[in-house]
Amino acid sequence: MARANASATASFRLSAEVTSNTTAGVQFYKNVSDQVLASGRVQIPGTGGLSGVVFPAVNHVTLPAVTLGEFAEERVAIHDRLFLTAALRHDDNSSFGHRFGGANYPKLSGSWVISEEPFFPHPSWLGALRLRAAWGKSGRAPGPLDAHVFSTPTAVALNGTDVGGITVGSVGNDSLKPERTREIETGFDADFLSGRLHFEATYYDKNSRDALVLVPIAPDVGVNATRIDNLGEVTNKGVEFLLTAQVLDRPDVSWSLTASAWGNRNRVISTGPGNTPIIFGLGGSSQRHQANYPAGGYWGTSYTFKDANRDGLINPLTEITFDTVDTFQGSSVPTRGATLSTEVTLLKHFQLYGLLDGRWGNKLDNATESFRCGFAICQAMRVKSSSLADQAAAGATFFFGDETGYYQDAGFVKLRELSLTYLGPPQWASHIGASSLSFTVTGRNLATWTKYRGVDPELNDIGQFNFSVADFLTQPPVRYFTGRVNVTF
Amino acid sequence: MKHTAMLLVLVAVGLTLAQAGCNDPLTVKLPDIIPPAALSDSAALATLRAGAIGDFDLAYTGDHPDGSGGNGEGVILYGGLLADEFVNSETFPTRIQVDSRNITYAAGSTTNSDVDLWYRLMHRARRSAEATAARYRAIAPADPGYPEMLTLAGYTYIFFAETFCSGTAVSQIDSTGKITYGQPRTTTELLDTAIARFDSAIHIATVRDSADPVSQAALINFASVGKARALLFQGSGQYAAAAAVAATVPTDFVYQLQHTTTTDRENNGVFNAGATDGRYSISDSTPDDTFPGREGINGFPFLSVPDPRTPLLLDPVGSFDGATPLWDNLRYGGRASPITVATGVEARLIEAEAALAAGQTATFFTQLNNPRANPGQRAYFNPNPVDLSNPNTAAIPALAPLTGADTVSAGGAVNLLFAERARWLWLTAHRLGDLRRLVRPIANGGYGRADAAVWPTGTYFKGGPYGTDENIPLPVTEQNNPNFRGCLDRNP
Repeated sequence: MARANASATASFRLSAEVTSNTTAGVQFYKNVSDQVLASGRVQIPGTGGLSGVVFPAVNHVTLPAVTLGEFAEERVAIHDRLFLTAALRHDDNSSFGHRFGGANYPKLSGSWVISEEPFFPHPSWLGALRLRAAWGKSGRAPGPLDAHVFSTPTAVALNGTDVGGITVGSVGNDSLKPERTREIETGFDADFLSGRLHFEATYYDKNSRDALVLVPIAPDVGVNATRIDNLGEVTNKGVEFLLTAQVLDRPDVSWSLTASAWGNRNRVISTGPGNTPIIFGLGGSSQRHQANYPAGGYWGTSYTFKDANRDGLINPLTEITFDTVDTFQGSSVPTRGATLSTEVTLLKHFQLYGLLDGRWGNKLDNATESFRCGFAICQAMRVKSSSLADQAAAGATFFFGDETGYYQDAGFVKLRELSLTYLGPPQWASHIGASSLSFTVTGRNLATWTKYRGVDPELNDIGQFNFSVADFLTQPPVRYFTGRVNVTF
Repeated sequence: MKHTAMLLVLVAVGLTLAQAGCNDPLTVKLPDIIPPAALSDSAALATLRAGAIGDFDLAYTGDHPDGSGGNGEGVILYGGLLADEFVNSETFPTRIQVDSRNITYAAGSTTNSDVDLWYRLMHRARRSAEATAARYRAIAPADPGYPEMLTLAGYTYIFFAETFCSGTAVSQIDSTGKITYGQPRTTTELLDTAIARFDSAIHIATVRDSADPVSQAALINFASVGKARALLFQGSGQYAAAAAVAATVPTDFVYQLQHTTTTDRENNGVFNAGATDGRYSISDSTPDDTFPGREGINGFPFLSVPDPRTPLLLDPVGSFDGATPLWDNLRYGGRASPITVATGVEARLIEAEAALAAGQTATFFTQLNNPRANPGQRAYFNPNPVDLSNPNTAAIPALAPLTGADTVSAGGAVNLLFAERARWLWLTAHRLGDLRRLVRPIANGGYGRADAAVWPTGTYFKGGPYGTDENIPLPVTEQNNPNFRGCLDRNP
């Protein structure tokens, strides 16, 4: 990695009420990932290294990325109550497509501590009130190889020997652009009751154009399965709230609460020219980017079922009726959430902390269960008393490859953490020359309340990569306990 | 303000120097990839040709089955799995669906991820061969590599037609990455395209490659066998035309794909699928409840009726699932064993079939007996490698001539013909097409037999009944081609 920054700032007091900070500079970043993987097959007895293998193989990957950015920023403070910022940044990157020159990112923001203005009334219950608003654009560069068309070398057996050949490496994208996001954000921060209560509210409206997403390529093109492409337009609008409260603050007892809540509405506005849905996900078709729906939502063929002969069993071939088209089945990511944490300190030595975390509004593809049903070893296919709905889901996936019955409500509330800390007396610490000493026992992932029927509603087999979300033979977050001793010197 | 102005001037000068001092700082070296410019001249044609052959070999032979490393299976494996050359000896439900003829299918496509992989590999082989042919046409149109690439491309169209349902689309991508999506093609249209590729190859080889008669003949024979095969699959109305093309091909002609042990990709994937990975066993290896030793009642008796053309070995290591007996083929007895794509024997069999359809019994037997009587001309089918401790790896000897009595014992001349094809063309991606032709209605150029009399049927040995698939549906990921309409039909 190489990094060079050069910037200069000039500060002036333009008048008694107005100060100015002007900054300009240039930034140069160069990251080179250089990876060599060596392996071998058939080890000669007595050897233990790669030099002892009969068939060695080596793979070398070099991924350089260079960013050259230039920026200028002007900040003005008026009466130290109103702060205005204007900035412009220009970035060019080695990963952009050859047809793309560079990107400009302007920014405007303002912050006003209105409660300090002379005209503002000063009720006793209100400590401070700050209004804020911002508008800006930002970007994200593609990966080092995403824009490049290239082949990769391969050995081919010809004429009795190994000769050099090539196979498709990447189809690239000569027009690849950075992902650009325009965001408007506004809100306020307020302190009440002498600072014992603090509240923040924010509304944001993000509009991302040319989002960088991994787009599947139809097999009949005859190249890679995917490539990075610019997705037309995606919006995210939402609100965020934060409340902190010092409920009790007495010499032997203190109690604080922190609560937050958020909601987000994500929509694909356009997938690009033609507005063709982009279909991907586990199994190849469980998720889509489709205009007017959430990005990466679950899609599938809905069905109805009826135990027509009343034998308590669903015959998949005669008692399930499928829709004729795929429809939206639910968001693959939560659309709202909330946390609640609290900390209680007793007798100056004991601290109890707890954190509840909840997220709702999404589904999760329980592909682990549908996979079992693919082997006909799931409960719904083996236990006669299974519900008709479960039998229908199993039959739909086993006979028709329809996983819709396994898109399950993944809302949850989790007790993320519970901890108890004992703050040792100062003399304990002083015995070992320390300034403080504490002992903490913590339990994490202690409880989950959810309707999800798999192991855990937060599972994802490929780790939130490129919108793909599925519970597929993945280890869940485990419950664990830790004991910790903190010593400060 | 004066200071600000000075500061901005200084920064501007600094930026200018920074830009000027670097020789395009955004230019990076990518030493591990091959850009298109490096493959644009005639010196690169040999590399392109090797690459196309490598991609074709992967789509035809595979290197390792999905789940065992490598890149995946070829059409020999999955076509043979759906037909009766292999049974599944492992645990993947995707392959069990294929073996039991129960491939998930809804709204015209399948979510079977292995089907997606197989289909993708074949299209990659098609594109690679066609793109390389285009480079030959532009740079070296007289090079023998040009008709060879056209012929390889033609074979990929045959495999789409014989293996998958009607509806395969063919899309194109240009050098900038722009995709032009193709329309679905019917099975007949795919075969027409294959024949057009073969005709072009024959024409180009005939006109432009006369400097090397041996190479020229081999190229013409390669394309001719492909054309005859495509005509044969079009149905009985084309048998005479197929025979006329096949008649030009000598019995000792062979186009083989070579393999080595150097890299997995160069391995013989049919060998690996059995002996190395234990996921594919030669069928007839597992008894069912109707006829011990046959897959789904009708499976071909590769085990129960031994034949030197289809040598087998019960693998002492056992199969992947630990339950299914693993029968390894010995025709490809090692990672480096070559595999035939087109042979003169196939030409004789096509002539025999046309003669049978025309009522020319003497010619029928003459063509069937030609390879039986001439071991030296079809040595390419001998087991490889030879293991002196195992007599099953001995060269295929001269075989007794077939007579009318054999027709009777086989239950008819058609049975005898298809049994000969099953033996000679074993594990060369022919059997699935043969089973389809047997059940295709007579009015459509087939033999009009009932599915239950030809295909594996009854109870599948891993549970449940056999399904009704006679071809492989298209993968659901084809929905990313906006012209995709699913299988246009599932006809045999």
